[in-house]
Amino acid sequence: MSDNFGEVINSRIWKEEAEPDNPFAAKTCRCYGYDVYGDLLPKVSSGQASYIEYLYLLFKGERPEPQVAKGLEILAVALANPGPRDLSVHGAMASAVAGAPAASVLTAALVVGAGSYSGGREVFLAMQNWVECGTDSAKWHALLATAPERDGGSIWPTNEHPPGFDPYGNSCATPVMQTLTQLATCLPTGNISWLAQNRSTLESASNLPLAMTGVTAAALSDFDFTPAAGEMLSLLLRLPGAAAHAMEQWERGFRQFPFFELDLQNDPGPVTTKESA
Amino acid sequence: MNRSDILKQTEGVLHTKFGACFPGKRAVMRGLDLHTEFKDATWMELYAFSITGMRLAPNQLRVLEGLLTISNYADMRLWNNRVATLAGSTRSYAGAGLCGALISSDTQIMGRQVDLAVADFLWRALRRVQTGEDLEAIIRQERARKKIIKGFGRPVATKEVDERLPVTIELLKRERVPMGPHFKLTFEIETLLEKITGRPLPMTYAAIITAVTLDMGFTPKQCYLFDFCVFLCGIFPCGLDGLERAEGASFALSCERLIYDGPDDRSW
Repeated sequence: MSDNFGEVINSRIWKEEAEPDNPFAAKTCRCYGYDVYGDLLPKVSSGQASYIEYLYLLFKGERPEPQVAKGLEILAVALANPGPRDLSVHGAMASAVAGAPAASVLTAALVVGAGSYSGGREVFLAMQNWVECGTDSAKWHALLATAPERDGGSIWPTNEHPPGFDPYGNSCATPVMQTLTQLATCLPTGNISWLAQNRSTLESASNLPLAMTGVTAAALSDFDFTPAAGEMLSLLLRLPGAAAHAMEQWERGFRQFPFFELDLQNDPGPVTTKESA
Repeated sequence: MNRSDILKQTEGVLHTKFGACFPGKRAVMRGLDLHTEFKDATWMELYAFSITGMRLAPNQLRVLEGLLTISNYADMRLWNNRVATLAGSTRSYAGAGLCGALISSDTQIMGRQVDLAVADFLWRALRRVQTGEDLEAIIRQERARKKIIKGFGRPVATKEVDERLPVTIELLKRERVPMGPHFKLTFEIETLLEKITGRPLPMTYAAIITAVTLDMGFTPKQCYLFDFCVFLCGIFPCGLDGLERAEGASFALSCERLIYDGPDDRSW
């Protein structure tokens, strides 16, 4: 190609020092300056560091404050398993029950869980709303009263409901409320706390109950994640349940798994060719 | 009615017009029996039908097949192809490598996102021009709204004419498929963009392939779906390449080629 491209990988996240006998094997690996294997692992062993703190470090470049780490852990537990009726988990189970390899199963969970209905895209869009509105009630009311802009040039289908709210909910589901309460208690200032105090008002404005994606978006914005980072993290955090349910259904077998009934509305019926007639 | 009743109405039975299989008997797609209606059809005819519901003429199908043939670049450095090579290198399974490469083709600088964006613009622009609006004004509005018009100016070889343009024109001539209004419009846009920006921004293959398919009656979203296979045959050899080389030996990077520019060393 005629264009110039880089010959190295540049990173502010990861630093390696090679083993003296092998330039392709790392002797030390530092994440944002911290020695992961030489310093962080012993600290995890002694309880001075945790996986959730390391996860935060990877996304944000700094260790989290204790309350932020606790909040992220609460969110991680809340998102880890949406349950087998969730569409992304259903996708993973459908993949697994037919015998697909693990990567296919998790890919199925990711692609089904990526969209603007209960998926990563919905978290992204809801986080954009937090960036735009913050804790300004007037802005939220104006935003929720505005129909989403249609962009026919985007690969994403037009959003069909306000992101962060449940289009099929009759009231805010109990697990959503419980997650919101725990996060708001852990993080008494900021978006999630404001959401807990103003949930009813926002639900009236959107005419829909708050969804788990809305709680997720508020919490991630409190952690100062960008919408893109929040989308990534929410996709990651939902995978454990998909994996577990997929393995369970594979063990139970495809005959125990729902196949559903189809009503083909334009069925031409059996067709007989002249040759076979 | 509660909102949950909407889901209740769809529980149990799925109503559809897109198709079903009747194992041991027959299969139906979009209201047609697959094994009788398509027993003499080419794969391309079924491919176009599955996306659009249209039965296209044989010369149109040969053009479509040509369009899907000439963009299969077996260059493993290309970002989507690279996924297949890396999957081969790590001895993953082929389906995962192919899938990874295909879903990595929905990118902002090439592939599917560009296809849909330019298809959507061509679709809208043509209809506005047909009602008497000035094309230059339409382009200026679009640039003000979206900064760039995707489909004009490649991320590589930015100023050069796309090598697939003359091949496509020859293909249309050979199959006697006339150049339609969307394709003609791309040439006008290309000229006006150079006038507006002061630099050449030749149409990319995304503009070419979507213009031709729009002219066959595809919608922008159908163009996007049709283009799904446009890189596929380039991906296979890239995956095989990674598999044939020693395990882990594709795109090797030594530690010294990782240049760190983050915080200084520190203790947890």
